[in-house]
Amino acid sequence: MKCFNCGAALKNMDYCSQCGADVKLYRKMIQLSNAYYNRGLEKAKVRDLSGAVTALSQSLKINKKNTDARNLLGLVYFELGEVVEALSQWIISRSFQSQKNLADYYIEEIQNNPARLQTINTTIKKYNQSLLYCEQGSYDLAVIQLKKVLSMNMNLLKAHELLALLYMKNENYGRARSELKRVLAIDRTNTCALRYMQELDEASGKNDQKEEEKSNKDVIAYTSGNETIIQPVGVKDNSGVLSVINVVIGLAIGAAVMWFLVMPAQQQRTNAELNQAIADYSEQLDSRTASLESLRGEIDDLESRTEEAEAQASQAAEQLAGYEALINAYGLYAQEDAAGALEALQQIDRENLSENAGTLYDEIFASVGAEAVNELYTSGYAAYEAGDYETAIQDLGRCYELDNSQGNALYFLARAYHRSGDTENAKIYYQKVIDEQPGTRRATDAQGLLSGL
Amino acid sequence: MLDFEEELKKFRPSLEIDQVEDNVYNNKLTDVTDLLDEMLKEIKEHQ
Repeated sequence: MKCFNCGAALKNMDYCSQCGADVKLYRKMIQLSNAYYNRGLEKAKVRDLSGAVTALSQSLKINKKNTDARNLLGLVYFELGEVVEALSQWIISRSFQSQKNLADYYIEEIQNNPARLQTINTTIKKYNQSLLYCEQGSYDLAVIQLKKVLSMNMNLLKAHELLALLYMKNENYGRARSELKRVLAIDRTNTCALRYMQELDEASGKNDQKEEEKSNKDVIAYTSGNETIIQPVGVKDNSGVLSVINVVIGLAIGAAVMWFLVMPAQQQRTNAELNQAIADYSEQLDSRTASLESLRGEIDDLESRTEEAEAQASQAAEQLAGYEALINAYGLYAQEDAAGALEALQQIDRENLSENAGTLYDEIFASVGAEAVNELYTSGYAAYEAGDYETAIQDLGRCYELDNSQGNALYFLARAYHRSGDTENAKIYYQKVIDEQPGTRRATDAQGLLSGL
Repeated sequence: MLDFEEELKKFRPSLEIDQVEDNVYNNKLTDVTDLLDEMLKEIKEHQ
């Protein structure tokens, strides 16, 4: 406790040790203020909010700096829906005690919720508007406006009281009573609500209520929220059957939803997964096919290489055979066996020989060629004359093969075939004589002989 | 019996949020300790 005169801390004495002021009376007043605060607190705890407001106001009249009493008064005002009064008390409290003050928390809580504050302000404006409607005699509009107010802020007791008053004016005592009960639920000793309730009891006494019940036997009226619901008695309650029907309808709707919405979606999802799997497999198949094609290409490449190698080996073998035949031909040529040398040369492919070997081939061939042809013709013709047509055919045929310009060899070859009885070959070679030696005597003879065959 | 018109006159418009400041300033903050202080001052002046 501080001295009211100098602000020094007081001790347990009747005067201030600092300024000497008599603080006996002051101490009594502080105690009285605290006693009122305690009474206000007790009343607030049992929801005697009107009584709490009175006690706390008394406390503050005695000691305006009793911040506990002021904070509690603000809290009570807030509960009564008087937000502006509540904020005012907390702000004043904070001006007296700037630190460790519960009012800071209250103010902060309100300021941190601007939406709620805006709603409260809107309800206050609507309440004022409904008062204006009342002054103008528009009671129905006032009732509508007050219902809106209470739907947003149930604790605005003045709105409940005004609405109850309007209901009472319209002799709607049930609704008026309901509103007053809500007021008393928040503030149990609300003088206005208690007075209105008393008036209600007088206006709609028990006898009246009984008469009203008798006259309304065919209906049951009860209150739900702000509304009074009137239900005819004669109506049979089919809620059980209706519940079963509703459940069945619900199940049918659920099944339809499953069938038309869920199942197609499931099917679509399954199809998408299958398509994805097929795409994956196709991709793998393409990859395998590509690798197979690559391997086949490699196999073809290897086969072609093998064939090439075989061809090279074959060519090498042919070359080797050609060289051996060339050596053999040269040996026969050295032994002056022109025909054997020529025969050996004929087994050689000139193209496969190297440049030097080809030169040797040409030299041997040039030396033995003409000689061999002459030898073969001579021996063949001699055999023909001797009637040895087999030898004649062999030698003359060989002679013609080596030099197809040997017209006599061709003619006597045909003759040898003719005489040996091989008329088919005779015809062939007679025709060759006619074709290759046109206009000659041999051709004329051949034509005559061919005609005779 | 209630007089509706008279009862209606008892209802006053509520203060809106932006009127808090005015409400704070208009609040009479004089208490008994202020009266006591004034009384003591007057006694001192008379002495």
